Amino acid sequence: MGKRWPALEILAIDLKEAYRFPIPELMAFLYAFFPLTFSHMALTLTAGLEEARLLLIMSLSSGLVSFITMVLILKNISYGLANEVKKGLIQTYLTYPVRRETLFLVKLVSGILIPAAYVVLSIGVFTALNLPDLALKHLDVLIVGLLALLADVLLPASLMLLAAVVVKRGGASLAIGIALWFALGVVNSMLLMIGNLTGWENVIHAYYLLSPLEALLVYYGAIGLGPIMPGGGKPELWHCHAYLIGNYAISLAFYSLALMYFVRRFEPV
Amino acid sequence: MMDIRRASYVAVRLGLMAVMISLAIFVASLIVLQAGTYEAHTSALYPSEVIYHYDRVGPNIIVEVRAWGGEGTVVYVLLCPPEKALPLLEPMPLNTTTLKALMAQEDVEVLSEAPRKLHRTFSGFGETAIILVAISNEGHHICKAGLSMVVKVRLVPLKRSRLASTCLLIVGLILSSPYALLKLRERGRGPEFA
Repeated sequence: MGKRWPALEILAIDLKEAYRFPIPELMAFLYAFFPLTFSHMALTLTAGLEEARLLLIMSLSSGLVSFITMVLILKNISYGLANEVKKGLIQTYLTYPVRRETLFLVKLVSGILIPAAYVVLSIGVFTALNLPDLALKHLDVLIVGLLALLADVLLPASLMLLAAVVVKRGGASLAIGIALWFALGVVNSMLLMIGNLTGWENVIHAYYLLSPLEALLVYYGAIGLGPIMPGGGKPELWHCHAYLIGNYAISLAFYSLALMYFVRRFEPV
Repeated sequence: MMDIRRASYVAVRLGLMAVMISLAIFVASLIVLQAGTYEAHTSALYPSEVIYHYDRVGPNIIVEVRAWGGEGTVVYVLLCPPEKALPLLEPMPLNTTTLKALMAQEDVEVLSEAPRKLHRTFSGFGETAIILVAISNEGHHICKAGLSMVVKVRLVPLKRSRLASTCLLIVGLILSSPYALLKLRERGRGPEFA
């Protein structure tokens, strides 16, 4: 097996290191349990459209889960990947008969996609138990909402990955990762404030581009256009989809940049 | 042999995760939170008058009802679809006639009907509905009456959580069994196979 699938060998080593027993098991418990504490809201939120109810409950229940996921990605990518370079593990992996692209994909799977899968698991368990009929009736809204939730995780994660590949030092990479995460939050808040005060259309588009879930929540009337909203009118559904696609395109651009740097310029010294 | 060992190791880890999710659902199903209370008393319930309270219920909800009244009163607990109940309940107060009209409707289910006194807990509701607790004075004298309603929320509906928890536990145990069997076989054969 080892000779046939060296990439799988690296993935196995990586997973064994990053997800030692009983960390994934405890995470599965927490990711399944924590959103269920918001179950009572599933019943109390009765006003408005069914789609709005579904999205709002998903958004509320996934708040802390997304935060924990970001911490996990920081640990895996910003600290873990950069530390592996420092320790010489990446150099060892590069001696395996695998292409750099494959090694990058392995790191992406273990560092980012597995934590993101926990978010999917969490929302899946929650909706299957509390809102099965609503989720089945509005499956499209559930999927788009889930993608929008993941976008909130995948965009900062792409920046962290790029920083980790470029910086290559555990401590510095971790600090930059945290700074980038906060910076993204600050930019988001600034766009919200500027949009709210001035009503500039481009600022509102930029805000929704960085927070596609907000656009969906506003579109379905889950949150009103009150004083804490970016101003402007209600976005159209196609706008919401465009914001979501745009967000993923930005994330993809950062992942591609990280990949190109890793393949062409990365020197593990 | 090595491939089987590795596959069984991956399976046991996935199985343990399934068991932990099952445990999370089971623990959540044990947690019941109080969502609201309602109390109403009257010292003068006139003939054909009704005191009542209604609330929205769903699969997670547990409703504890205590109601009492003087001679000639009847306590009703009804379960009705929101689209039928709300048009009757929202515009004006109920009286005995409108209450009977509501009870006569097709989808309205009478959960309980007791003369003068009732103390009961209701749970296991199917879909979202309106529960109505009413004390109706069907006698000819003015009397006292009072009702209290405590609404509690179970974090996950009991039936669904039991089913999901059991299924996940079984899946977890099935996935864990090959690894456990391999380990037992190795122990039986001695250290040279370990």
